[in-house]
Amino acid sequence: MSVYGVLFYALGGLMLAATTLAVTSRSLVHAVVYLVNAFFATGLLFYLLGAPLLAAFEIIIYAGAIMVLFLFIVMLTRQDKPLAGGVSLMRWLLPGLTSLVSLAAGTALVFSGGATGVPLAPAMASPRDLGRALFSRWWLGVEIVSFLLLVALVGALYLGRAPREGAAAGKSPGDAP
Amino acid sequence: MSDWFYLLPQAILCAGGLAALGLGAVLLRPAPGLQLGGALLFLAAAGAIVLALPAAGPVLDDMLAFDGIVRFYQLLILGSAGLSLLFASRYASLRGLAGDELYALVLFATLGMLLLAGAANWVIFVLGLELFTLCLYVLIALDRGRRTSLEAALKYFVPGAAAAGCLIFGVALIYAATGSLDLASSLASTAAGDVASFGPGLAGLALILLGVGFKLALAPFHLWAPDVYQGAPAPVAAFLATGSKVAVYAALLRLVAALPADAWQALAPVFWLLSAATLLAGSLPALTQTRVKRLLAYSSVAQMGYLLLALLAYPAAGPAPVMFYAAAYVLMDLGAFGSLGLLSPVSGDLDALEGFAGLGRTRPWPAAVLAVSLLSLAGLPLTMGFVGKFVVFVAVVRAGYPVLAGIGILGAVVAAGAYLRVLGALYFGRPVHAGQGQPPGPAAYVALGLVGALIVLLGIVPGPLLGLLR
Amino acid sequence: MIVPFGHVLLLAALLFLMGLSCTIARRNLVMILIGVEIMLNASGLALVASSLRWMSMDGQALTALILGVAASEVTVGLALVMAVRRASGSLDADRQTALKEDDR
Repeated sequence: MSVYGVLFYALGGLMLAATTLAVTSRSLVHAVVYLVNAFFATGLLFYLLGAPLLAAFEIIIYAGAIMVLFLFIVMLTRQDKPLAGGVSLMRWLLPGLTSLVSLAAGTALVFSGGATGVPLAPAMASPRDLGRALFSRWWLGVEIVSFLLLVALVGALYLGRAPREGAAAGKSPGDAP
Repeated sequence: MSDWFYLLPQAILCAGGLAALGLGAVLLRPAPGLQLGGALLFLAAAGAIVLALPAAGPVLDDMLAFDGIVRFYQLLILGSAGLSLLFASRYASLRGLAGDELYALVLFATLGMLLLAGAANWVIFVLGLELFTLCLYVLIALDRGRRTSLEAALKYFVPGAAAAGCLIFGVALIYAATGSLDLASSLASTAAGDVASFGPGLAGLALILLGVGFKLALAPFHLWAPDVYQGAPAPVAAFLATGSKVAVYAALLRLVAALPADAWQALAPVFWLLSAATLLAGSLPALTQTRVKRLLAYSSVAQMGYLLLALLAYPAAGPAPVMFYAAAYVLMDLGAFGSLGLLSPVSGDLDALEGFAGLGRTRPWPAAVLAVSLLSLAGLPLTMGFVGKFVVFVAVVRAGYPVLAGIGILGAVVAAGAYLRVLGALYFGRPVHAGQGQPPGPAAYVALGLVGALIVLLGIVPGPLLGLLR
Repeated sequence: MIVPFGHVLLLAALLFLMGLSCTIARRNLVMILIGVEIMLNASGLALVASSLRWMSMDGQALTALILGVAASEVTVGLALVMAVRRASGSLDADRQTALKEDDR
């Protein structure tokens, strides 16, 4: 096994362990911190799979921005204590069983050879390649995502402002209080 | 003709949404008539261009497709957005909800729906779907001071986000199996390979169907629908039930059309089961409902079952039944939810059956359109719903699924009982609340008149439209 | 050679199933959102690996776009969660029961 292979399995193991801990954690803060670890490992894996710019994005956006947002919400809502009742086994039964079945099917598919047995050769796509692909081939997608972000901004602002008392009396809530 | 013209309707909607937001920023309290008129103008301009564009293959680097079917569904979506806004404008301003967000988000949602209906590759498919769902999350929570509205948005968000995750992972698996993000070519090569090499592709297709099933509220993924429709403001529920469903349905139609014949043979039993389950899951619970919004929600689930029937018959019978029934569905649900909103008092949407008692006499026009929509949903003759069901059943029997047609007729008969209870309350009940609700205003009268007249007119003379669709 | 393509897909599938199980099994709304993020992240991993497998940039481009999707979805989701908490005082999905079938 090459050094790439060793790295892949080590990072993959780290991701699985961190995600398992996050998913089953009884404390929201712990879950978020485990998840930051998992996203760091994903970023490194992206680098290994030849996507350095995406690796940086993954760490900046997922591990940075999104997880900090989660932490803010956890702190704002004072949910930093362990969840009462925590994780009931019965609720995990159905998703757990379905996951096991799909996993068994997936494993059988992967190890039965065919197209999924193709070895991945190391290669690197420079940020310039990604930029070219994004802005020459997939420019329409970039435009749509820009509107997606605008809608998210408008929506979050709208939902975040508390409705004024007496808004139902015919006043427009569109202007700031 | 340059490819760029095919982006013009979408660009107009972008401009419209930005204009609505800008208007709200410049004039702190713009007149509702100005906002409504502007939004309708943008929708109409986009519609005119959609109508005028000639059919073409994939355009703009294979991003968008535009053929007769796409054109029809895009017009339906634009019409549904326009009528929903006509129903919504006075409803919203009476309740203090008519900010610039309402108009901007409806326009942006319409943009996402147009993109989804015309998507020629998975990237546009996913992004278009996300764009309008994100707008709908906020629109359902429009009445953010009311707990039910927020809860409905949450109950749409949680399954919706999970479904989006499934759909995106499905797209990733299809790309892993085929190396192509093009809708038609990736589906063709997924179906062409043997299971061992293209297992991920098949799993991806299954996940995508699951995500689509959630958005369309097909059984067994329909459980969110009654809660969401009950809690959402009625005109938003009208838009959610018509525009978003039609857009996803148009995309599903493209998927089915892109599948090679042998793959369709393998998938047909799945659709058979889904449509039978959806018909029964929508029709049977409707019978015991005492809340009219939930009843309408179950009925729209059942209508999705009829649309799936038409989809099953699509390869054999052509596009006319799917298109005609989709149009009928849009008009019926817009009429039902829209007039329900107009009949409701400001304190909260009418829901319990008793609240409708005697409204046929005190509020004749909205009640009449509600009655016509319900009769059409029940499939009574002289309405568009009857013609639509008839066309679909004929196509399904011809395509060789007589049992399914039987289940469909059974479901229609069962559900008709539920609709008749509402009609009974409307016209034979004793009025409980004298003078509740507000006068609908001229915009809503236009919408009421259009919807009611079209349902009856196309129910009596469906020939020209059916001929056009063939 | 790094590893067989299938192994990366299997890792992505595992992560995806964990995220899906998290959204289904957990009751806390923030945990449900975290599950969705895990699902989207798994999709990104599968796309980047496929991009290497097919030596095309399409998968990487879609991953970059999905970053935007994840960010906007989580923004609206968290704003909604905050609004719901303000209205109902709870972050527990099971306690949101103002809308339900009539008891009889």
